[in-house]
Amino acid sequence: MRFDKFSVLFFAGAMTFTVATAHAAKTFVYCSEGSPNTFNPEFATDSTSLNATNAIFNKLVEFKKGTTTIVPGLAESWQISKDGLTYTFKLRKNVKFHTTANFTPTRTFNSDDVLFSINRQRIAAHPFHNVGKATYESFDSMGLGKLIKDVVKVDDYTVKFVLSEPSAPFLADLTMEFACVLSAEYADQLTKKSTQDKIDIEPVGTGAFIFVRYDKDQMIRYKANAEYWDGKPKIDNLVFSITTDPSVRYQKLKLGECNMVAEPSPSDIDSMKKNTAVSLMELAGLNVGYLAFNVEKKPFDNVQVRQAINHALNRKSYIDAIYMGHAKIAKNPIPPGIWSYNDKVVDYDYSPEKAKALLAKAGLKDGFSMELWTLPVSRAYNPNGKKMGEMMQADLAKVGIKAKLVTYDWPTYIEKTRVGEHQTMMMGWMSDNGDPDNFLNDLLSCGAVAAGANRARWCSKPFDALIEKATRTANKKERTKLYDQAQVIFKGEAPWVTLANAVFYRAMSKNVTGYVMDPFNRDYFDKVDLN
Amino acid sequence: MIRYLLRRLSVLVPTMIGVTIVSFSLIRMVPGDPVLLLLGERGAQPEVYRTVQSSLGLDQPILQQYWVFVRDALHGNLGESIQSRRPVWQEFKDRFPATVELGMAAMLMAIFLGIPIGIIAAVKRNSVFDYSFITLSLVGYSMPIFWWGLILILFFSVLLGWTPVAGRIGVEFDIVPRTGLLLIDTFLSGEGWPAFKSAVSHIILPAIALGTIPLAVISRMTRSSLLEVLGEDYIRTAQAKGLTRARVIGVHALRNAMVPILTVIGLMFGTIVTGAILTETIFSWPGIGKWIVNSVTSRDYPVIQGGILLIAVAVVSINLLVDLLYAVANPRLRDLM
Repeated sequence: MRFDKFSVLFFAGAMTFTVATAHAAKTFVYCSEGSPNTFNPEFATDSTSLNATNAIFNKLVEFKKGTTTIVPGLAESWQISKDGLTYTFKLRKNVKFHTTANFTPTRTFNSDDVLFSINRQRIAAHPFHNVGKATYESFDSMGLGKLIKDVVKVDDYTVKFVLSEPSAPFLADLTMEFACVLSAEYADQLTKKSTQDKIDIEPVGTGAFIFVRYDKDQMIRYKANAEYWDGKPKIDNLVFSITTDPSVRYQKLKLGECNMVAEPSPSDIDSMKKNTAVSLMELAGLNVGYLAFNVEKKPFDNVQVRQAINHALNRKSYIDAIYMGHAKIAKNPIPPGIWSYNDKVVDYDYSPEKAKALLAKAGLKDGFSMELWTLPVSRAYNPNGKKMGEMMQADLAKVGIKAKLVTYDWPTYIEKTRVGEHQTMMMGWMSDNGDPDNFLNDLLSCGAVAAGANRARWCSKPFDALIEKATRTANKKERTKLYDQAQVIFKGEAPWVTLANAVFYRAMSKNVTGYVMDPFNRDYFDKVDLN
Repeated sequence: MIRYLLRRLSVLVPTMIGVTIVSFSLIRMVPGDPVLLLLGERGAQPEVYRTVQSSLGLDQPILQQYWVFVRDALHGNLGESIQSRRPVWQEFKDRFPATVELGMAAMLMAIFLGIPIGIIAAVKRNSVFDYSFITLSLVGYSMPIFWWGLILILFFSVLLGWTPVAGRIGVEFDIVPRTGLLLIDTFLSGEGWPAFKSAVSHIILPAIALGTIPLAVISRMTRSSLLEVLGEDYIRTAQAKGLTRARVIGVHALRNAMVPILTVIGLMFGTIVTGAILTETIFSWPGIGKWIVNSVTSRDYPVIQGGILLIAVAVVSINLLVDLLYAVANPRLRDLM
């Protein structure tokens, strides 16, 4: 692309400068891809804003870095009642909120802060509910307003969540950013000064970094929180240098103007791999792109037809052409980074012969005609639905299936596929909370047929029984066993063709240590260092 | 003069109505739904979708939405950004100084290089300098900014290491914005010289990228306008009176050649704004150009409508100001006003 030839030419020059750049007080510069919309994680929905707030805040429970294993955050421990309706959290003591220009905390973190943060989103009459004209998309769309019946302060360091029905993924839900804990004391002080809006603009949290200032579209400045409960960060200052053009980000990295870049351009990946001054990390994201068959429509009610198409599509070629190689073939409905991913499942190989044989068995020796609805938007899990549709069309023609490509604008596409007007359609999903339930139940259960999110409209009693049981089971080992079996049923019944898991990249200078990639595509800097 | 001003101002009304209609409707014609962009994959839930849609007023009929926009704009309220939930005016105000600073730097470069170069080319007509000037200015005029900007970065930053790649100031300088013009703020902040130098080194490349087209246009206009004037009778008279060459060109010719040059300078402010959109995106310059681009990507309707209206007001005001300067440049025009 436009930089490639030059980058090779100027490589030597660039190297000199990378080496020459040294940092006196350790300032870590992260060249981020865009401007945050807000500094309140309760109403942020995009990863740009969430990266900016994750530096500042903590949740009750968090993920172990780079995994989807839930570990203590601001809660030291928790207990789930036998009926699965009550979650009791023991809070960490002596956790200090940030001292900023506007706020000096007089007390440490306690139950009031948890109640404040959750109730602001949950209760419409809460004094802060409408502050900043907020809407709480994450909280609302996870259905937590209905699920959480009450949040009770047992004592200063014990909080109890009462649910309206048992929900095993609830703990995982609390790792999402909307569950970040804000300071109730700060809110009180702002109320006294009638400057409530500041709570979202000049944020105060308990996290590894203290917010200093946001120069719009330019820089976000943080300083290390020396009193951070999980250990003082090794860097002194953290700067998000907002650089929207991915090629410019790469040049900045080469010249040492940043230590790490977000979302490298796919066309720069090869050059980065060759560049010895840059380390490139990659991780399969928690996403899946798929083709769903509407099993209520003929001939897709026949499992042999579904299996035949699974054999007929050359997914490897899509990965190369559409994902530019930056994805892996998906095998299960849940991506490999999610616990309980069943690696023993045997995938359908690309084989037009097997496809033809299966079609013949299904009595469709001469093929048939079908509609293929292509994804109208570009997503990491499927960057170009139309082009993929064309490739699928060619693959299907080889086994005698005539596919007609159909598409609509996104809202229409969503609405029509919700009610099952399609025969086959492309879709995808990105994990919210790292829980397998978030894929298997939300997208494939019988209940999800009525709700519309199960676009295969596939309702398998044995599969559903396993998923149901797992939702009501708190024990992770038992849940894993249940999900393992569910994935085997899924693969055999083939309501989808699992297409791809997109890969994420991060590029950084060689002197960066301690950075761990996050499967949710977020960036955390509390453990990074510069050598 | 006052009648002229009133006449000019009255023409502004249809212009502004046109701007609101175009900015309002164009962005709505582009496929893409701000609500779905806000919700991501979760847009799949119709209830959530409808709640957010109505909270943004986007469930109203289009004409109703337009009426609300115009009515509020007349009351000085441009609405709130869908993405940041902050008033459009506030967001504009925070970013406008950065664009002004960059635009001024580009224009100053274009004027103070363009006019002298144009004069020399006119005076040394048909010389080697003149011919190379004509060729170069054509190249400069036709160079796409996004390409030219990247070439500048590759040459001056990556190859020579003279200037930083992008941004407005080095990360080591923590400047609290006061005027919003960083070149001034660096002094007010007490960081002094090193910070100022960092800010200057950051503005050079974007100013060159943005100023190249105005430079080409202004210098060419200076050349042709001056050539025309140099053929006039009163120039011959001045020469015959035995005035020095410098005085003939600098006073008698240039002042009379100034009117079309001023017009072009005025029009170039419009070019600066459109050019800023590309320049700011390439150089990560935190001004209104980049702001508008981000808003288009996120289909932030109020920002696009309000932002474009504000930019239009700024450009039109500058052009009006330039027209008034005619009178200063050429007293003969005062009677016509």
